[in-house]
Amino acid sequence: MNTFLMINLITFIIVTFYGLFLFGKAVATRITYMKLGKKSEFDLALNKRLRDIWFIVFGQSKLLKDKKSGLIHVMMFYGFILVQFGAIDMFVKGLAPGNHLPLGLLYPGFTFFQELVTLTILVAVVWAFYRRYIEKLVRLKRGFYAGIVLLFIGTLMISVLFGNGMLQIWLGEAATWTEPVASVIALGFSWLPPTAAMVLFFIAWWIHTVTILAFLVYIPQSKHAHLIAGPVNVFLSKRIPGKMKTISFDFDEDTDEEEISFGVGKVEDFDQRQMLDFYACVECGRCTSVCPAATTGKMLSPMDIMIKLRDHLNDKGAAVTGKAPWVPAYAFGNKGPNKYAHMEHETAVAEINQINMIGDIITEEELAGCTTCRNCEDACPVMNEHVGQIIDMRRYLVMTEGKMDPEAQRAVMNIERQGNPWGLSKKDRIKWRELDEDVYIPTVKELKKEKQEFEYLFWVSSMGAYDSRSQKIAIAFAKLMNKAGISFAILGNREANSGDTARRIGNEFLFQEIAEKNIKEFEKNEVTKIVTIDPHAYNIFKNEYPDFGFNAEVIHHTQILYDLVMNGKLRPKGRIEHRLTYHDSCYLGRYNDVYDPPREVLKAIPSLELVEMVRTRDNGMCCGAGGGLMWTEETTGNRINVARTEQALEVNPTMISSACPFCLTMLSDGTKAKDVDQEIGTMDVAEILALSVFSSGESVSSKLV
Amino acid sequence: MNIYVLLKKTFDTEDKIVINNGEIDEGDAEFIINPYDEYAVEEAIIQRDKHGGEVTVVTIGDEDSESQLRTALAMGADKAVLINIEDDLEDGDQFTTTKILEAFFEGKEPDLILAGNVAIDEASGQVGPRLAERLDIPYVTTIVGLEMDGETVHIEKDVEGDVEKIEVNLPLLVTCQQGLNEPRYPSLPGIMKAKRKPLEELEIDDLDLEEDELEPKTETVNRFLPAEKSAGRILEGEMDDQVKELISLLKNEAKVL
Repeated sequence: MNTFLMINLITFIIVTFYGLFLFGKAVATRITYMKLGKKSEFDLALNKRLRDIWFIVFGQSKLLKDKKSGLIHVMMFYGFILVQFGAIDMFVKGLAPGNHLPLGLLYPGFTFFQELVTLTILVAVVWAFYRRYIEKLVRLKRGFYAGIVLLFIGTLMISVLFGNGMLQIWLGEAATWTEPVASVIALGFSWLPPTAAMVLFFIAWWIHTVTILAFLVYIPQSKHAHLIAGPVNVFLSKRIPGKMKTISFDFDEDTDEEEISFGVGKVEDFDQRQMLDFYACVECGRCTSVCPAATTGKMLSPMDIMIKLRDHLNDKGAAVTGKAPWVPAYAFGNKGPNKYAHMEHETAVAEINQINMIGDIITEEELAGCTTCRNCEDACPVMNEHVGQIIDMRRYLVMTEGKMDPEAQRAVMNIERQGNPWGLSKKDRIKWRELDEDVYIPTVKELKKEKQEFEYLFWVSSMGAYDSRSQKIAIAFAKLMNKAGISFAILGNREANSGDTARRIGNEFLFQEIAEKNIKEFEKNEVTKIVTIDPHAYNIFKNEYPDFGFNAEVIHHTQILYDLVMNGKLRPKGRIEHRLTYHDSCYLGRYNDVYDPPREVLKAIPSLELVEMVRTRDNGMCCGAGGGLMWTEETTGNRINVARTEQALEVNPTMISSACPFCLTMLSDGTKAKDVDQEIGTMDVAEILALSVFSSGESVSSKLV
Repeated sequence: MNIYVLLKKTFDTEDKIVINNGEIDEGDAEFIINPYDEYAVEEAIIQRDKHGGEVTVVTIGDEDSESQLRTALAMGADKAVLINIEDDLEDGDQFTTTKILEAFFEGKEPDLILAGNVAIDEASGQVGPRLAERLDIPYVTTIVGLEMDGETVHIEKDVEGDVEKIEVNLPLLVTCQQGLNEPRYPSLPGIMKAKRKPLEELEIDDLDLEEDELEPKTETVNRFLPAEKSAGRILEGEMDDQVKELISLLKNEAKVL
């Protein structure tokens, strides 16, 4: 017997070390691949990062956005952590039969708890199988490899229960309530002679051991790499969500133009943190299932972007470093990325360089489809940053290759020339204020002449200044500021474009030119506070201009209106007898967490009934206008704005509201497309508030705008 | 293949035109490549990439015209020529332009000359055809398609919305119409490369021309802006009354009936 145990122990040690070695190799190989990427920027902000780990990793907050799948994952996540102790106990039992973890009096409690955990995991495995293969949840893949993890975990759980049962028979232990399942199994097989039970125990024990090690080796080379990459990725995620990287355009005169490239044109141009995203991706499809482009039939799927880039990085990594990503390498031969590792270095590199990342792996059409709404990022349990990657690739297309959608190109050129996407004369920018001469809307220059000061710079935005529908929002807001005694000024014709469209389309060069000019104008006029009706300008001034040395207090109009309503400077009097649903702008909500101020303003209006859509707040669907897509025509699939309008109509509103001129245009077009624009009005929060504030107390129930 | 593009700098399409003392005030207007000339530049680059050769962009203008030439170079043209008339000529017309270009092309052997269909400022559409006449080569205006097959050129010409198919031989001058192509957006590396591409500056002396040879044949008598458009009116009331009112307005106010 001792000889057998000796051999058993030695085999166990060899197998375990081999397993650990392969695991280490697979991890190290991927780290080597990631090192091909650029260095990432990183600021410590430890508090934020630990809070993310606490809520997102341990609290599973993102996963629980899908209640059922989230619960399954919680069961697996905590089950898997806890069951490791049971695995160690199992090892001890097989290496030194008759012994177990030295937990003294606590041991019976421990075994009972372990069985409970094991059963919980088994329930989760069955439930997960049901969801993937029987309920056929759309976002989940259904191949064999998609569910192989269930086989691994199921085997682990069953082998441990069965092994414990056999151990009881073999060692002649009495059935015990602290190991109910094992005891039942032991009872069921009580007719077995002890030797047979011993053999079966060791078979189960080895199945358990080998499965654990096989799973360990499988983890880093599959979507299960998220076990490692996920938490790390959460820890490393961006401090300000959706904030774009700044490109430096400083290079010396001798740089060879052929070598110059901006944005990400090949996989090594991504930074290492972005590459970690690829490995952190679990292929759960949560991103794609909320993506406004994917769900309306466009070619873009954020999940597939991650997966394709990961596979491409494996291919390229194998070719460049000569290290095979799939281990043990002999088991895979020349399959998949391993073929590049086995080729001669030069041939491999030449072959992989034949593949253009943009074009062959990721198409221009996919990149053009993104509205930069960040719903994917919000849904992602491992905090992947799809949008940043997409824009980095757009930057390459636009700046290095000069390729973009002709309509987007026109908008960009118009911004370049006249400071607005329509190319309307920059001398007409100020004209909107003539719409209502009773509203006092001074320019900074006019105030200066009168030796007066202003507190807020009102950034009207191109929409507010030129778009006839949005001009009304600007007027309503200015009127409210007059009423509340807020001192403000506009830049008039000196206002240009915030640069958001240019930046999100990928023209970083133009954006930086614009930003520099704007900052100069702000500094010249000693601007310290900016208020705007445009969430895109709000976001870019607040979060991205600081990178260029401009820091001001930036406020969205719904925030200041909220303050003014709360402190009584604006009193909504008129009753608005409407049932209203509020649509969240992505750049206000998901980018800046401004969800409540607009809602509170609406709630302060007498008689107005506020109803929420199914997809609201952080899961509010995009209107379709972000990322420069306001200026391009949707040619494939359904229209995003119509889809969003349909979601609004589901809750039977008589009005749809928003706090963004882009959203409002899209939704208003949506009601026209659905042929309900005669019954259902679309209005900005400021307009509705103005209606109530400037009313003499009567009630309005007729259709509005 | 020697491909030449005739390029003119114009006001941005949306810029306001201001007239001061009978002269157009350029003030702080934005200047662009005449949009039709942009099609010409794009087409020249496309044809060069297909058939080889060199694209030279030529403009007549002032110092500031360099900016538009650099843009054309950034798009992919190989060389640029600026014929600077700032110090020599007070005034000029299509005759002047044609004469200068004729002198410029002397001794050169262009295979294909591309120009815009019209320039959006004065919209005469004359320079292309007149130059072709002077150079004694065939020309086709308002083209929307161009395929070269050796010396033979297959052209699709826009004729008021219809398409006329024409076969013609090189050397040839064409003027480009919207729909011919989608002009590219210069890439940043392109813009950087453009800074080092050759840009030759000539004055009329260099072309052996005298000022008096270039006297315009036309005279500008007056410049004025179109009357401001007044807002439309929406008639209200019963349909019959509206019709009556409309007829009376057409008779009495608009005086078209």
